[in-house]
Amino acid sequence: MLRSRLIQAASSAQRAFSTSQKALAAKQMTVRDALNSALDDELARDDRVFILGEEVAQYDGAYKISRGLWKKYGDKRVIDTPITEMGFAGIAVGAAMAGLRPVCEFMTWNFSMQAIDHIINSAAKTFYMSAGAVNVPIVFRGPNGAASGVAAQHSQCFAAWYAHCPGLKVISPYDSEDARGLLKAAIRDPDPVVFLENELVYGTAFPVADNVADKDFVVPIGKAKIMRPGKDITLVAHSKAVETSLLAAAELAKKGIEAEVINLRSIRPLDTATIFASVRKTHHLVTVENGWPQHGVGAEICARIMEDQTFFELDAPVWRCAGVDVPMPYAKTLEAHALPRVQDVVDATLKVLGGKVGKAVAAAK
Amino acid sequence: MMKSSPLRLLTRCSGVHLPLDAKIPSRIFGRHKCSCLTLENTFKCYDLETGPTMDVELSREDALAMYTKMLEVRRMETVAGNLYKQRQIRGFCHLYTGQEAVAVGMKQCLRQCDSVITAYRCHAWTYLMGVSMHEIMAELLGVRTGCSRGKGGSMHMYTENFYGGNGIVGAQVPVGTGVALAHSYRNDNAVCVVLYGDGAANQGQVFESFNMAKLWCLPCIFVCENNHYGMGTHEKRASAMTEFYMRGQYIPGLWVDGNQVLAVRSATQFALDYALNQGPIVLEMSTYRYVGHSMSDPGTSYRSRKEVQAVREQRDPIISFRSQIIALCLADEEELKILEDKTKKQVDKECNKASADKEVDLHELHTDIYAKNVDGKIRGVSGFNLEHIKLAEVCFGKPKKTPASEIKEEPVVEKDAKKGKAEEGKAKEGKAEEGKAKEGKAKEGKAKKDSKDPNAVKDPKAAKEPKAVKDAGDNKGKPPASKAAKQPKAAAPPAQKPPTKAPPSPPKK
Repeated sequence: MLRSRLIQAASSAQRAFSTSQKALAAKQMTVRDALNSALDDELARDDRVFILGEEVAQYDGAYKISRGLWKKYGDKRVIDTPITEMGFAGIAVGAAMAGLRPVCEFMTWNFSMQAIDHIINSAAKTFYMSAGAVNVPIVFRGPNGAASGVAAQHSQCFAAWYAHCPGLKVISPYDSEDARGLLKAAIRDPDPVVFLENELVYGTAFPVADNVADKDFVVPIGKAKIMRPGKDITLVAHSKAVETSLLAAAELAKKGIEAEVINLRSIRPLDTATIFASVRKTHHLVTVENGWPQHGVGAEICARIMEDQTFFELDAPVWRCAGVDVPMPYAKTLEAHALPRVQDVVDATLKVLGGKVGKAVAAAK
Repeated sequence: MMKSSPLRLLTRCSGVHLPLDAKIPSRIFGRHKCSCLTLENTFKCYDLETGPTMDVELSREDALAMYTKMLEVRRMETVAGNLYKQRQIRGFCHLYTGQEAVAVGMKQCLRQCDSVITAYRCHAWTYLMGVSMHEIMAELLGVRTGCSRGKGGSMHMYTENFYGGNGIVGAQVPVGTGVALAHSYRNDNAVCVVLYGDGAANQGQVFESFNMAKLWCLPCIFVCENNHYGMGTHEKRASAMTEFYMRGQYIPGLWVDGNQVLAVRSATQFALDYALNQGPIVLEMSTYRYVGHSMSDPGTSYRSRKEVQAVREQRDPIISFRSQIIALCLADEEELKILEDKTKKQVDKECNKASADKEVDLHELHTDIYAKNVDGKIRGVSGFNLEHIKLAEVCFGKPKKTPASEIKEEPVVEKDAKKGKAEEGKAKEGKAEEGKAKEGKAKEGKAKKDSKDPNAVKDPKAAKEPKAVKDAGDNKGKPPASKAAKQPKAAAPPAQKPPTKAPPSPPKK
């Protein structure tokens, strides 16, 4: 296991990010603090809520998401488990069936595959199989997707895997507002929720509005957010790919192209209304994700558009930017090239816009 | 295989020890209200200082109740088997025939507050936990009166404090351990009985559960129903160590003759006390199934008919208990005969009811996928044309109630979110709480309740074809202009926060 390695990677990532936003005047909150405070709020609000997972209590969480919570709430509410995912995921599901509201942390989502039977067969399907007699109000959460230098077994996006299953709600937050508001919503939700965080942004401070810190701040599940309005092309992304898209949009702006960036927030349900509305405006679409392309989130968005009238609004085919279709390599340069980079998104956008690029540039002048 | 164990009987009135096979004309003793007997060769202890009580009391009332239940279960399974052969029951159907003493004996000393979870061989437990035979048979037939409304089938039936059958071998063990965790969390003085077979006993997740149950001292009774064959493989060919009651290693265990209902009852009482005071315990109930693993297995290729016949003759849980009842003078031959006839007729009548029931409405295909659906429509075969229908209220779990004052309204920050949603969430929270406090079983009643979900259809019947067809039509047509105009608004960023300007700078590498 590479757990200790992962933790190292996390702390180095944190170092790389921690100072990046300090210059901004707006109120700042790191994703880590957003998640931590969301857990704190919900533990305080509802005595049925408890956290379990590896090293969540005394160690303060492998990624320090549950920092201080064990000291505050004690052994009963914050439970360290052995390194046995299948067992503790099943236990969490059982506790949820019996009326508690567990937050089950996977140290990373890669390890959830040992427990996937309980996520799918025990959690997602029970409400339907029991004709609504037994619901499973549980949140499975943890870092998802590629981290830094941890190679194939520890670098993988599970958004498409879990979004495939009816009965689950799948959330992939990007910034601090998402993380805090959606985690609180997920814990209050009566259904099983898969909450896919990204380790690489845990230490990043994002500007947040004042109300984000409110005890009752929640972001509704199933709604996407327009991160940057634009009229020429739509970029749809989730999690860290939102950052890539925003940077690409900034690049494109220099060329006079106004890209609209949509942060999906929820993978299932997928907020197609927001995507469709944007496409009706921009008539062009590029999807950006760090997961693999085949049967991925981008593939689903393409299919949804084709099944809708929005298809006729497109002036060019939809294009996907996704992780390279290989297991994640270890070496730094290979790893960097295995995920969509800003330039990749810019290139794809220019390709999709084709002849329109010249017009846009001309119009900008 | 275990030898049949002779019982020494002791009638309270006479104080004389009688062997089980002693022929005592019942007339001489009449009918006793209560008798005592001493169990022998029915237990083996592992890491336990004391075992269950060997001298047990049996009242006439209990004896007849347990005897009736065993008869009912056996008859119900026979009916199910027949319906399967007539091709009325589909797919999986795992019968409990031969193992009746385990469920009946255990249930006899479980209390209302205790929970149970078992594997796919779950018909008997479902019945004993309170679902009617009519509802069980209806579920097997896939008709609308089924206890899971025809959506679960043979392996997925639930009721209050009964967390189901489970179709995945061994998966119920951690889930049941989690139910025990909930009992411990709420400190409600209840236990969870977790049943699995000798096949599942080798699953890794069983050992993971043992570990955490012991570590956290959970009130959990692990019960290995050892019918000696995991599907079609004999225990000796699948397990390096077949003493399943010792397989908990650091968890004390008890081997029980699972074909003797009184031994099962005594062991369960012991385990219950143990689990409540000292944490988990493993029981191995040695039993036997007369039928194959499932209906597709004739159950003869991996064992001889002779073997099955021998168990039927020497260790049958129903026949042996019958002799005990008579020997203990709790009832006489004639009376039992009448009881047997009556039970058979009753079971047949109950089960037959299901055959007359109507099929499940087609619209139930898309009911209760989510307790709170936030998606729009459910995708049908071709397009998003199905309405999510909510028939059920949430749920069986009986959490310690969070004081109403502490439950806060869920404010919906996004401007576009329907105003009603916040209220809906609130109403539901409150309702769910109430529902939990009340009984969880009356699904029919619940279905009719107005669930306040905007997606819910008040009258399930009203949600049939016409609506679905209409939706399909809507979907095909171009979205109305007004709708299209509204959508961009719906997608507007929340509360128009300061527009997110520069994204965080990428990692400096």
